[in-house]
Amino acid sequence: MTTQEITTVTVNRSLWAETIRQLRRNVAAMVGLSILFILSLVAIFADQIAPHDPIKLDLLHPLQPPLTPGHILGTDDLGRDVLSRLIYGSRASLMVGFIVVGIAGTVGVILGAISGYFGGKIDMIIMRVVDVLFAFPFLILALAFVAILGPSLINMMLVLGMVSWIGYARLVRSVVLSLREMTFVEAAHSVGASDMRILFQHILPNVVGIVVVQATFGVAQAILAAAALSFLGFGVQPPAAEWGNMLTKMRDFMRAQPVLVVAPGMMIMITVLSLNFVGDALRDALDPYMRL
Amino acid sequence: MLKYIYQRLLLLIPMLLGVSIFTFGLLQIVPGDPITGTFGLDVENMDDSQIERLREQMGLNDPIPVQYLRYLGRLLQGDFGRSISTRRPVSVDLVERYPATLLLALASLLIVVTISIPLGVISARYRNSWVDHIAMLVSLFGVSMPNFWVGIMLILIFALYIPVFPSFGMRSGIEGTFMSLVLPALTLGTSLAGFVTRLTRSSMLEVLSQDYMRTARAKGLTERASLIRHGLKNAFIPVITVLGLQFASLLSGSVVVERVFAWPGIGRFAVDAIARRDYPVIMGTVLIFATTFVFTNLILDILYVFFDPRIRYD
Repeated sequence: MTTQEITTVTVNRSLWAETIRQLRRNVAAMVGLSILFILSLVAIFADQIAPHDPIKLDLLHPLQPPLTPGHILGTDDLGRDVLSRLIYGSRASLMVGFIVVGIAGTVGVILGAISGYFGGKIDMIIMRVVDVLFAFPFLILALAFVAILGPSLINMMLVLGMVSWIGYARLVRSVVLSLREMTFVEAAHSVGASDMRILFQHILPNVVGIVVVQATFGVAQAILAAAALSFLGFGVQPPAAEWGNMLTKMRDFMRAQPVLVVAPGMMIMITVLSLNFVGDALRDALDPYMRL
Repeated sequence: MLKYIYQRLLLLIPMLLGVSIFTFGLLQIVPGDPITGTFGLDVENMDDSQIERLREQMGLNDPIPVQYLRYLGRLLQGDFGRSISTRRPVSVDLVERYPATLLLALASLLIVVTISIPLGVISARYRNSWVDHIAMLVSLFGVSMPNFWVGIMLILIFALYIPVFPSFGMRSGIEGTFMSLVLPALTLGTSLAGFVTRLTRSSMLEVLSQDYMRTARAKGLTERASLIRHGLKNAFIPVITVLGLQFASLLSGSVVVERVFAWPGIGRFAVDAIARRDYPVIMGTVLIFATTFVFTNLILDILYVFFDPRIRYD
């Protein structure tokens, strides 16, 4: 048993060492990672960095143009500092991205692994639920759930997690189905390893690579979906700043102050683009056979 | 083939039943009922007997299975119930608005197919050339932009600064419709276009390395003929699968895009209904969305046969 553990650890290490080596040679991935690192710092230290209180109104100075003294990016229709709102907005977006993937990934991997490994009735039930959920347009489903729970940041994260686990479940199930037939699983069976041990110690480590790739793109998708929900008024509620909800009232001020509609979308795009750069590189490194 | 289509149509029934039970069940756990949803704060001014009478009238006091069966029975007669807030029959609104959403989604699909597939093929053929690099970068931007923001940017540029296209609503007449369709369709198609370009490229790259491509060239076919007749036709299959699955994402996207452009489709209708907890409208729109999705997949399964005669459904 001791030998086995040591082997597992070394194999893992070399896989990740190789992945990191490949990532470091990929310019786009390094740019993406650097941007994500800076954005995380901005989100963590928003209190210290933001020049103004993001929700404090200044009705005497609405729609100030960029480069106004004290307001580098100007102010919105209620006189709030745009830069400060963008800085605080990074918190909501990054948090949503990672927590949603945390929920969806955990649920999806566990259910997908059980489904693929045990098969039979459990598999049928889980897969029928997945099928029905797949028939609904993602956003409509999310909207319906948010309408039930009430719009808020926490509920939005729960809902996006609840509707996006199905992708991970299908992916993991298909991989586990093929891994189940491999010789090393048969070997583990023959030395008397329990199902749980085989599943968690032998099969799941082989799924990690694909799941990591999927999760990276998942964070990007979650951020886009959260922005859309907030834009529609079903996500982060004003006055709290979020990149999506900063665009809700766009028609009112896009003529007067275009920076108000350009900047928040730009932030979303930069974040998602960085994640996609990293995801692409990870996929090339971890799973050269996976298409797209 | 006909038998296969017939079987697929039969499969539609349990699928739609499942979908309708699911949504109906979902709506049962909604806090707050349609009465507060319709009358809002006015409810506080009504006395209990009035509210009770309204509940009785709307059938909200019956057991849930009874409510569901009653709904289903009417549904089979084409009656989707009446909107709780406007009192209009839901079917009327759906029939009125559905064509607008379908038109928008199909126009986007057309844009995606005409831009992405040639671009993907060119990228694959001239792999690692500057065309390829630019196409890949642009398509990555495409999938990274939130679609509502793309819409806002397009409005800013093509409706405000250079007023070419209308920025909201749907104008009458063929020309008017076309002009109003351009910006929303581009907006809705951007992300899918990026995705499909990348997919076409990778699928084509795989096909280009196959032996039959070498054979096609060796027997003297022109580059063009071998690319299109032997390459693209084979590379098309995964692309079609994805287009079918992604049609649902176009419908999802229409919810947001219709809001940005005030497009008179069912996406916007659905969002408004969800905000007001207008049960019959929510049920109706969701059923229409799911039905469209199921039918799209049927059509695609039939298209497979066209692109790959090896697939037979006997």
